Amino acid sequence: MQTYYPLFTAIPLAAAFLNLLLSKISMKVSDYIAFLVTGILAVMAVRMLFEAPFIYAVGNWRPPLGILLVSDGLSSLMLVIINVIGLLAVIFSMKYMTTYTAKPKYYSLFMLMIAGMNGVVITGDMFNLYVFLEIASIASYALVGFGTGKRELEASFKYLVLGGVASTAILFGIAFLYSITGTLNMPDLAQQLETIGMTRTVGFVVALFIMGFGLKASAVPFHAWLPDAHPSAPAPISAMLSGVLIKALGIYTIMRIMFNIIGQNELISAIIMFLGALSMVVGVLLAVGQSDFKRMLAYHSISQMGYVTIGVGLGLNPKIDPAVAALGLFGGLFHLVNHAVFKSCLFLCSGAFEYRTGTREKHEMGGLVRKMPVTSTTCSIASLSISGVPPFNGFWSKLIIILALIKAGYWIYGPIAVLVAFITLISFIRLQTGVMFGKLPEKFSGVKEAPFAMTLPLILLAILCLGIGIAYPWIDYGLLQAARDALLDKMAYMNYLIGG
Amino acid sequence: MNELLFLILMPAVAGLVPLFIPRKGKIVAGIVALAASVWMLVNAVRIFGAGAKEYSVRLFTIGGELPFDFSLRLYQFNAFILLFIALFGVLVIFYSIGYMRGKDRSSIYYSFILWTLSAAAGAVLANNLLILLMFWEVLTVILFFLVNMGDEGHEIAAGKTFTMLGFTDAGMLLAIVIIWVTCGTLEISSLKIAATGFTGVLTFLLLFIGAIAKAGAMPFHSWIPAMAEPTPVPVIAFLPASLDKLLGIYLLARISLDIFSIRTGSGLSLMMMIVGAGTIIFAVLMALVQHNLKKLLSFHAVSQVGYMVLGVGSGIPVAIVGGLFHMLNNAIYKCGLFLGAGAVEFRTGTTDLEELGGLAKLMPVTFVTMAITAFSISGVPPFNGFVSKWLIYQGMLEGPGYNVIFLVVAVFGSALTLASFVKVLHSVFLGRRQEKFAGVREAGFAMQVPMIFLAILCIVFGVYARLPLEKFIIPSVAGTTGVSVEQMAVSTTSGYWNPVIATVLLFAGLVVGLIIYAFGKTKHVRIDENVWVGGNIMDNEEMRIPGTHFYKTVTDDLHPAWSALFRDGQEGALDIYNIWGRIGFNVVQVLRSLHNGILSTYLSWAIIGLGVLTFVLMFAL
Repeated sequence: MQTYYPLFTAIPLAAAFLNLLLSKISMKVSDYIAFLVTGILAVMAVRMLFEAPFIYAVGNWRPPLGILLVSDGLSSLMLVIINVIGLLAVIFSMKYMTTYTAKPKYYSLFMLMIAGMNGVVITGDMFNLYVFLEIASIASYALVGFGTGKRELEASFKYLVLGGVASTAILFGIAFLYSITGTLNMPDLAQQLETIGMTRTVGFVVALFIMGFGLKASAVPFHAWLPDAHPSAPAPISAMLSGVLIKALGIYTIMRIMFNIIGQNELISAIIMFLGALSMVVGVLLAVGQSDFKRMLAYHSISQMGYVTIGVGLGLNPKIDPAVAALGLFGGLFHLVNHAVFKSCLFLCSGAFEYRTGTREKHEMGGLVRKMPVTSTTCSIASLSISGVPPFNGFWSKLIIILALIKAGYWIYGPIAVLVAFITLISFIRLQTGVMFGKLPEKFSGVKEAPFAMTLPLILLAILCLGIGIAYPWIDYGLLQAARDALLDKMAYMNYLIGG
Repeated sequence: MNELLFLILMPAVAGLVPLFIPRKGKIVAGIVALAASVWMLVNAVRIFGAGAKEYSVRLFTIGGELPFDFSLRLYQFNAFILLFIALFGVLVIFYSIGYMRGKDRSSIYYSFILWTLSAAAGAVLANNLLILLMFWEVLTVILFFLVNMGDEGHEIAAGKTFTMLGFTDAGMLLAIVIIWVTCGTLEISSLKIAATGFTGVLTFLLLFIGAIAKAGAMPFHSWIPAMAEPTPVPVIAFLPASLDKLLGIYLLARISLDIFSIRTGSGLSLMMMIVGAGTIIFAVLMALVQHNLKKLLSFHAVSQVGYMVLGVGSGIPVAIVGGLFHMLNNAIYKCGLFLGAGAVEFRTGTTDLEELGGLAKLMPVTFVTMAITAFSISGVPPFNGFVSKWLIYQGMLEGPGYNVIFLVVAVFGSALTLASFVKVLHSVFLGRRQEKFAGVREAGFAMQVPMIFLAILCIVFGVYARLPLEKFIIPSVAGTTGVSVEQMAVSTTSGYWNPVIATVLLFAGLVVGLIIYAFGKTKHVRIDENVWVGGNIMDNEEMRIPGTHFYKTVTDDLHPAWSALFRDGQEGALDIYNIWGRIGFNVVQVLRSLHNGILSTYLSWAIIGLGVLTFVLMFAL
C-alpha cells in the first residue's frame, strides 16, 4: 500500500477531469465513474487500517526539502470516514441527483472535494495542506450553490466570504510560522517549535489557526455560515459537509497542529474546551426551534462538533492526569466517528423524505412511518444515536466524554454535556413526532418508499449506528486507540523527519 | 446458557419474530408473544425459589481504572418483582390478542411488548448501575414507540412522555457518572454512599427523581395523564400502571434502603414523605373531577404512587413493607382497572363518563371485576389495597411525632379515592343507560380472563395477606433494615388487623344487609316510585344523572384562589413540562434573533472572535 499512498488524491483528482470529458460521450458514464472511484478509494482506505505508520516522500525528495506524506493512526481513521461516507453518498446521489441537471458537473465537484479532503489528511506539509484545504473548500462552495436557486446562491456566497476569511487567516498563520522557523514541513516545524517555545508570535499563529480552522469546524462564534450552507446543498452533499468536511478540514487540522506541532498546552486546552462548550450549548438551543428538517440537523452539527471539540480540548491539557486526558481525546475521536455515521444518515434521510414529499418543513409532514417504513426506521435509529440513547453508538462516546470531564474535575462542563444531550433528545423527539408519527396529511396519501439506491446507504448507516453501539464493549478499538496514540505522541511525529 | 441471561435474551430474540409477520396475521404474532411470555413466566417461577444467583462478565475498563462489568444479581427482592413482570406480560399479551382484533395496528406491537419484558427483566436483574440505566432508557424508548401506536393526538403524548422520562434519565446518567468517578465502582450490591455533602445529596436526588418519574410521582407525573387518552389501553395497563410502578419503586427502595441508607427522621426521608403525601392528595383531587375514565384512572395511578413513596421514604420497617406491598397491590388492581376500562371502550367506543352508564347488566363480568379492583384501590376491606394502606398507617404511628400529619393526609386521600370510584362505578355501570348502548355485549374471552385473574388476586392478597407478605415482601425488606424476618412477620401480620376474621365478619354483615333488603322487597316495605319534581311526576327514563358532576364543589365552590390554582393544574400550567417549555422557548428566541442572516453581522463575529483569541493568546502566554 505504501507506494500507492498518493493515489488517495491522485485518483479522484484525475477522475474529476476525466469525468467531464467522458460524460460528453454519454451522461450515464459519470454515475459509473463516480461509483467506481469512490468504491476503489473506500477499499483502499479500509486496507490502510492494517498498515503500520509510514512516510512517503513525494518525488523522492528528502524531507525537509520535499513534500512529505504521513500515514499514521489518525490519518487512516480520517481516510476511512471520508471515503466510506463518500461512497455511500455517491450511491445515494445516483437516484437523488436526477432531480437536478448537470449531474456530471456535480460528480466532478464531488471528486474534487474528496481529493481535497484526502490531501489534507495525508499530507505532512503545511503549505500542501493549505492547497488541498482550498481545493476542498472551493468545491464545497460550488456544491452548496449547486441548486442555483435564490437561497442556495445566498448561502453559497456567505459561505464563500466567511470561508475566504478563514483561509486568509490560515495562510497568514502559515506565513508567520515560516517566518520564524524557515520550514513548512510539519515534523520539522514541530521540532523547530520545540526549541523556540511558546513566544507571542506562536501565540498569534495559534489564534489565527483556531479562528481559521475553527471556522471550517463551525465552532461558535465562527459557525454562522453552516446553518445556511448545509441545508442548501443537495442532501448527499449536506451529508458530506456535516458528516465529513467539517471534520477533515476543521477538527482534524486543529488536532494535528495543536497536538503534533504546537504540543499540549493548558491555555490552548482551556480555549478549545470553552469553544466546544459554547458550540454545544448554542448549537443545540438554536436547533430546538427549527422547523426546517435540514436546518435543524445543521445546527445539531455545530452542537455535536462541540462534543468532539471539548473532548479534544481535554486531551490537550497537560496538567491533568494523562490517563484522563487520553480518555477525553478518545471520547472526542469516538464521537467524531459516530457523528460522521449518524449525521450523514440523518441528512440522507432528510433527502429521502424530501425526494418523496417535496418538502423539508416538519409541520407539513406527518405519519410517514406508514408510507416510508425503511426511511423512517433508519431515521429513528440515527435520531436515537445522536440523542445518546443506549445501546446506540452516540451513547458511548457521550458517556466517555462526560466521564472524562467529571473525572478531570470539570464540574460545570460535565453537567452541561449531559444537559445538551437531553436538549438534543427533545429536538429529535420533536423531529420524529412531527415527521414520522401523527396524522398523515391528505396530500401524502400516495407517497411511496424511497428507491433502493437511496435506502441502501440509509440501511448500512443505521446498521453501523446500532452495530458500533452494541459491539462497543466487545471490540477492542485498536483503530481509535492508534489515532489517539498518534496524537499524544509528539515525539514519534517529529521523528518522521528522519524517516520514521 | 446462564439462567439470568436467558430471561433477558429470550424475550428479546422472540421479539424479532413478529417483525416478519404481516399486519393481517398479527394474531399469529400475538400467539408467539404469548408463548414467549409464558415461557419467561415459567422460568421466573422456577428460579424464584432457587436462592441467590450472580452472573458477571468484565466487558472493558474505561481509562485503565474504571471497570465496567455486565453483572446481574438475583435475590429475594428482585426475584419476586421479576415474577410479577413476567406475569403482567402474560396477562397483557393475552388481553391484547382480544383487544387488537379488528384494529389497524401492525404486529410490531408484540415485538415492542416482548422487548419491554426483556428490558424490564434486565433493569431489575442488573447489578451495575450503568447496565440498569441502559435497560431503563430502552424501556423509555419503547414506551415512546408504543404510545405512538395510539389514537389521534398520540404524537404529542408520546413526545411529552419521552421528554420527561428522557430528562430524568439524563439526570440519572449524571449521577451514575459521578458515582463512578467518586466510588470507582458501579456494583449496586457493594455500593454504600453517605447521603451527606454536595455530591452525596446530588446523586441521591438525581437517582430519586429518576425513580419517581418512572413510577409517576409528583412533580414528574404529568406524562401519565397526558398519554392516558390516546394510548392503546393494554399499553397503559402494562407500563405506567404496573411495570413502571414495579420498576420505579424497586429502584427507589434500592437507592434509599441499600445504597444511601436513608434513615427515619433525616431530612431526605422527610423530603420523600412530603413528596409522597403531596402526590397522594393533589393527584386524587385532580382525579375527582375528570370526565374521561382513562384520564381519571391515570390520576389515580399517580396518586397511589404517593403511598409507596411515603412508605418507603419513611424508613420505618412496617411502612416500608406496606409501601412495597402497596406497589405490588397497585400494579394488580390498577392493571385490572385499566383492562376493564379497555373492555368498556372496546364495546362502546368511548371512555367519556358523561356518555356511559348502566352497563352493569350488559357487561356483568367487567362490572364485577372493576368493582372489586375499585374497592381494592379505595382501601376497602377485605381487599388487598386495604392491607397495604393499613400497614403504611401503622408505620406512620411508629415514627416521629410529625408523622401524624402524613397519616391524616394518607387516610384522607384514601377516602377521596373511594369517593372518586363511587363516581366511576355510578357513571359507567349504574345510572341510566343511553339508547345507543342497548346492543353492547360482554367483552370477549381473551379480555375477560386477565380481568378475572387480577380481581381474584385482589381478593386473595387481601384475605390471605400473610401469603404475599411472608413469601415476597418481608424477606426482601428484612435484610436491609436490620430487622429479622420473624420480628417483621410478627409486627406486620398479627398487630392490628386480622384479615381472615374481619372478612368473615364483613361478609356476615353483608349477608344480614341482603336479607333485610330481600325482606323489604318481598313485603313491599320499599316501593320504587317515579321522580317527583315540583308537582310533576317525571318519567324515570328521562332522569339520567351522569356522575361527572358529583364533585364539582372541589373546583368551583371553594375559595376562588383555590379554584384558579386548580384549573391551572388541570390545564397544565403547573406542569413542569410546560413551565420549562416556556422558559426554553424564550431563550431560543433570543438566540434566534441574533442570527439575522446578514453577512456583515456574521463576519464581525468572526473578526471579533479572532481579536479576543489573539488578545488572550498573546498576552496570557
